[in-house]
Amino acid sequence: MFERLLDSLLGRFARLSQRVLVWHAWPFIPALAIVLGHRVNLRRHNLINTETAELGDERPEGFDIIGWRTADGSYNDLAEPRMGASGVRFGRNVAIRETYPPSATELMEPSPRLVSEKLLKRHEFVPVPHLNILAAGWIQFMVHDWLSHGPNDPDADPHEIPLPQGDDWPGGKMTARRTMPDQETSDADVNRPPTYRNTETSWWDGSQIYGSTEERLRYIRTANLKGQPKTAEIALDNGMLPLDKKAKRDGQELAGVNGNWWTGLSVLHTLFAREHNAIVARLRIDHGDESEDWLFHKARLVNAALMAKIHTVEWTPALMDSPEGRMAMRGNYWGLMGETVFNAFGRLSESEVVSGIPGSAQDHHGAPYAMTEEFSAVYRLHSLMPDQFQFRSHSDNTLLREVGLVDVAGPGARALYDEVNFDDVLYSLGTEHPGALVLNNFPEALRKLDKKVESNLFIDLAAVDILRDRERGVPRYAAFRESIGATRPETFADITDDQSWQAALKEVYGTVDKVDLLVGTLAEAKSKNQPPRFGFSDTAFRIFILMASRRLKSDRFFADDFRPEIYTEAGFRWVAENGFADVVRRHCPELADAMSDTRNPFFPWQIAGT
Amino acid sequence: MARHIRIPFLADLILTDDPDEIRELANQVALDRGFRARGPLINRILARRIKAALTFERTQLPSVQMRGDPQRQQASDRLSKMFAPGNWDSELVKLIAAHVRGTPGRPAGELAQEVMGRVFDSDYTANADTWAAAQAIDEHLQSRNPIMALLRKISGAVPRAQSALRQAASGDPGAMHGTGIAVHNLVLSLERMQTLWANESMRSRLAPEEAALSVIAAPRTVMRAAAEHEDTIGGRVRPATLVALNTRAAADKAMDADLAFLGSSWSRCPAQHWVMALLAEVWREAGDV
Repeated sequence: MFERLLDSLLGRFARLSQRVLVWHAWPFIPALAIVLGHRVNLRRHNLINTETAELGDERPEGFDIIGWRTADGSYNDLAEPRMGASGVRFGRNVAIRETYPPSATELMEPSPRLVSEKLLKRHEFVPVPHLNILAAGWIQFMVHDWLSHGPNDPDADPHEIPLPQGDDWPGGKMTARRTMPDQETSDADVNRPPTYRNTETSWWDGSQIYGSTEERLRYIRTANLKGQPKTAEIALDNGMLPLDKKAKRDGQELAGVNGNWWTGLSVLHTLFAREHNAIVARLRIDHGDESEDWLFHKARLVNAALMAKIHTVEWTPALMDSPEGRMAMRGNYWGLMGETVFNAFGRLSESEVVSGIPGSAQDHHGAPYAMTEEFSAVYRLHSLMPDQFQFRSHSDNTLLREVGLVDVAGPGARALYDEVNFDDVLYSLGTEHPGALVLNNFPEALRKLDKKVESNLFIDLAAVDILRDRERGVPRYAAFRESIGATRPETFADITDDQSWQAALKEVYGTVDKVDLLVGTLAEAKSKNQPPRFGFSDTAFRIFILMASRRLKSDRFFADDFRPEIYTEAGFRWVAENGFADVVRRHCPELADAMSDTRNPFFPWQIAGT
Repeated sequence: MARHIRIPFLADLILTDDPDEIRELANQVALDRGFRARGPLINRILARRIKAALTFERTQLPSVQMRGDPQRQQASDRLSKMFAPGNWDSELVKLIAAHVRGTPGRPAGELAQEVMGRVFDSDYTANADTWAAAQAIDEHLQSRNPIMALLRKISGAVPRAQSALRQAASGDPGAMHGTGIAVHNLVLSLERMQTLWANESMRSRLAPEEAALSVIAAPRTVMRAAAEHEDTIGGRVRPATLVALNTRAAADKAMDADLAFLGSSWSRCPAQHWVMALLAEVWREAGDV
């Protein structure tokens, strides 16, 4: 009752306060109250279920659904077993009626390629000096855990993206396959906007490492190596990821999800596969009589929780490096009482605000848990990627190799280790900077990405990013902000303070209402709405505070079942006592010095020899 | 999730805007429309107000007839037949479409009242007085201000409004309900459609049936009163517990016409398909200029 009343007050305060000032312009305490209030309002109005049919219920045989995460994410919620499982629909963060896709003309208005050329094309690399490239790799690592629309539709006529005059795009024609439509619709979907399905589990369950099917999970445990028994460990090849023999391209490393692969993903997957095996080794000490399956699944539970913790209390605060941003995210985990009090006394209150979400009561806030299209849209962060990488020695910072993004992508990520050892690759990613999320900072390599060079088939990922949001009915920037309870821009000056950007937006779009969500969020970087020391926009932040909490609050293994009885005593402590730096130190002890002076492991590490 | 507000002697209310809970509670056997002035103070006030506002000169409107009342079932069957899609005055639909396009003309309330009234009587005519009467009843039902409620009682505004609507509807309870109560949902749907039409982007992307589904407005709240002790998804009810199903919020969020009209419950609105078809026709007509 008290918590409901508090929520109601916070929600009202948040609504009223933004008529005066944006949340981060207030002093610390009211700013924090406003952020909490925004979350209350978003939970109430912006969690939308798109399912129109009852979800099925196929209980896996011989599987401890209470104590283990299933491969496909089912039985996390015991009352609605398919909730959050792979193959379930994406939900929405805006009203369903706002998600009808545009007409064919409007879909290409203005041309996504024009937007790419004029507003996204990188002229000069704009770095984020206070972050390292691991921060860029980490978010892709996480996104691969949470969502994928799967392969595009090979049968439907592809979209044809108009080319601006004078564009020298290879072949003079740009096409992009359509998103795979929902194959399981019913009469209840008639006249409703199209829906799409998440091919990954929506839960924060490490499915980028473990896969979202039983078959994939078995594959990463054995790697199809001859004579490799299915042990509790993830199959590694001398501490490195084995090669994926089923991949289309030779030399591709194996992981639960190994699409769009590059060196950043390679090092993180390798580290957390090693971490899984380290957890197994620890659990064997106390539970040597348990089966290999038991040890595997318990280690997975612990590994997934550790990644969730790192994301919540390290990665996100690194990108939201203001007192309010840090408090908001660390508060999600430990509550307003903070880490020290939590570690000393445990939960002091049932309230998630006081003692954090992990261990609090599960709550879906009126809509079954699912990743959303809008969440997917605000996580288009390709501008974080640099075009060039310098790999240096961790012992003396000597330049070992300088290569382009494409050279360390796909099989190139593995090939790199032939020339630069794993520790040096990791050190280099820890010391270099990612790109800033601003206009005109989209990597050139991704704007002409070789999909099938022999057929002269390339894609402009910047144009495709724009197209995808439109195709999937994500509202454009102004409507999107209004839908999430933020102020709606009426002029280009409301989006950005930068006059040259205002002019460029006007030239491409003509009217404010047409500005795409991605472009608007990037343009916000130079505006009064941009929270200080934030790596992303206020607009994206609104969705983050909603969904970051929800990933924990809806998940039984982070809510009611976040307890030693489920995780084991050792496993529970493993999560409490470790962070990203501990993982790096455990598996790459020679890098311990490089991180010794860094407050956050996603901030630049110390340069060797300085 | 449903909220159960139970304060001894003062209130015993369950409120929910969760679609699944509404579907379940709407069919709960223990919950009906027996709005008797009993139980805690606020329950008594609300029950009395609902019953008074929905009883026009001793004629109960369909929306307060009990589940087992044979007259309710007969009336529902009759109304379902009358509200056949297409049973509307085409000229009126053109005027409504013009309103949606933003063309100045008669108020939407009068047009909506008239198009509904003519399902019952082809000569039904709405005017400023009938629309004002419908608004007075709606204000009374929605009001949370006890002083205003008292003033309305003293002034006799509600009985006067009921009398005016009864006269216009020639005493037909279905017509009185349509033109006095349900009409407000249709008016809100048309207002939403006007906003939708003003948005060029949405105008180009929506088919008529999609537009109808996008704008449909459910009643703000559907009330039920507990007749006996029972465990429900919203908590344990006892005689006099009032349950407020916030169907508008729930149906808006789920964009679910069936939920808006409680189409899967015993109290389903017999005009569901007529309203959806009418709205689609208005959108179509608006585009046929």
